[in-house]
Amino acid sequence: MSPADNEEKQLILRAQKGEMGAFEELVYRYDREVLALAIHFTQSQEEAKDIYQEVFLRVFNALRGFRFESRFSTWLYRITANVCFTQAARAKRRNSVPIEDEYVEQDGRGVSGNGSYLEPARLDNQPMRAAMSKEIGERIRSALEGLSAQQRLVFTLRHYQGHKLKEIAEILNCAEGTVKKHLFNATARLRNELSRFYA
Amino acid sequence: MIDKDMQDLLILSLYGELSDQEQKELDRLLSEREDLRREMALLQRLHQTLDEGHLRPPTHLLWQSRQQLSEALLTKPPAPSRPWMSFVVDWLSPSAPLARALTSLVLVTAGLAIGFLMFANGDRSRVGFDPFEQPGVRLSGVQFSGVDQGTGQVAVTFEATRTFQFKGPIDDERILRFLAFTLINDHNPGARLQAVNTIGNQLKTRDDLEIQNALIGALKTDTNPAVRREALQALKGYPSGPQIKQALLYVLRYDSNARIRIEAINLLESWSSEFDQETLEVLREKVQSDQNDYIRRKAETVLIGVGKEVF
Repeated sequence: MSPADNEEKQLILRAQKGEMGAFEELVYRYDREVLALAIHFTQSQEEAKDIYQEVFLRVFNALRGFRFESRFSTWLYRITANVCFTQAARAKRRNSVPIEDEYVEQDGRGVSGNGSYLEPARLDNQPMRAAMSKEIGERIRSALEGLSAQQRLVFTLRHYQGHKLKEIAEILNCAEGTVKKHLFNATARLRNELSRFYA
Repeated sequence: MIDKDMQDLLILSLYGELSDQEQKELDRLLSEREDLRREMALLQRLHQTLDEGHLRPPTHLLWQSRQQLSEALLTKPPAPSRPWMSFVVDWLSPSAPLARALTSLVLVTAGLAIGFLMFANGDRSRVGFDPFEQPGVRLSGVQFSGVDQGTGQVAVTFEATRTFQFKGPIDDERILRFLAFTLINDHNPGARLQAVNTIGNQLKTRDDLEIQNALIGALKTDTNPAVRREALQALKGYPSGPQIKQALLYVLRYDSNARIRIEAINLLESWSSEFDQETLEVLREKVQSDQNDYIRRKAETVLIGVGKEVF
């Protein structure tokens, strides 16, 4: 076990004993990634915030039962995946506000309703580039929304968050082959949807 | 025209998911085939395009989320966590392969808990009304909360507990419910162990779903290896079924205790006529990656025994 892993284990053990500071530290280690995943998955800040709350409340409730049989991050992402899927099922039953509706466009940058930036990784200030980026961003959002929940989550975990397929299989508790299948199908679909931007 | 398998290889290569050998072979093909190179270039451009959609959570959103979480934890502290709660949380989801099978366990457990609490609450309310009318009630944790200066009333808080005893045959419904409840919920591993031993040693019929589900829950989630092992022993008396098979596969995959994994694979072997694809995949995983020699060899033997390829 590496020193970092050992340190994390000690942190988890302290949190399991009810030490709130340790729990908070644990949350802050991973919450940025969880929120990023939720944003990619839902394309909505409000829904991403809801997912964040639900994930960490579930983690808080279940932490004492965590037995170190998997990495903590795998366990956390599994909970996140489950919450995302639950959210996707709920979203099917109602109209959700897409992320683009939460912004107003100013100076070529995405701005959230309360004035803070939601930063696409490659946006810059040149008007042409910004307009193109906005169009691409919308098209990507629409293409991602066209994927099934499983395909979207697998694609997000692999492409945007850099998890290996084996880890994703552990997170989703399924065979690696199944993960590959979702990734291939997602790529094929995105390829069709976005062909005019890259072909 | 590039076939689908080759396209899939290109995608895996872009994500760095090929083994060295596979990557070498693909590089060789790429150097030989123009159509593959074109396809690879297209996929690379697709990746670059998709990178445009990479969103970073804004700082204010992260801050708001942390703030809300802190408030939620302070103002509405969740119920004390229990091993079975984590089991419910992790598995009660459409994404989990066992979700449907285990939903029944969750419902049964919840019903059992609610029933028990209703029973206990009924008694507690009477105790709260006048504990001295109840025989055998013990008071503890007495605290004087103060005197209301206006009315002169004195407030005290205390805990009143009373011992109950159930006596009856092992298949008595109340006894069974009590054992299932204890096995899943009791904090004391000794009590859980006694519950699972009583089930394993005394229960002659194996047709009670609540007990079966409690045993599966204990096998998968109990923090104490002795309880998990005894739960597995008790499950041996049950006929094979998808729920128990899934629990055995879970144990084989995730239990850190090699002895329990060995017992799981041994029990699984006796149901070899019912192996499905998932079981075969888990066994193949075990052949390749289990840390225990016996389990690796055993998984290989079982696969050969049912005439399936080991790799």
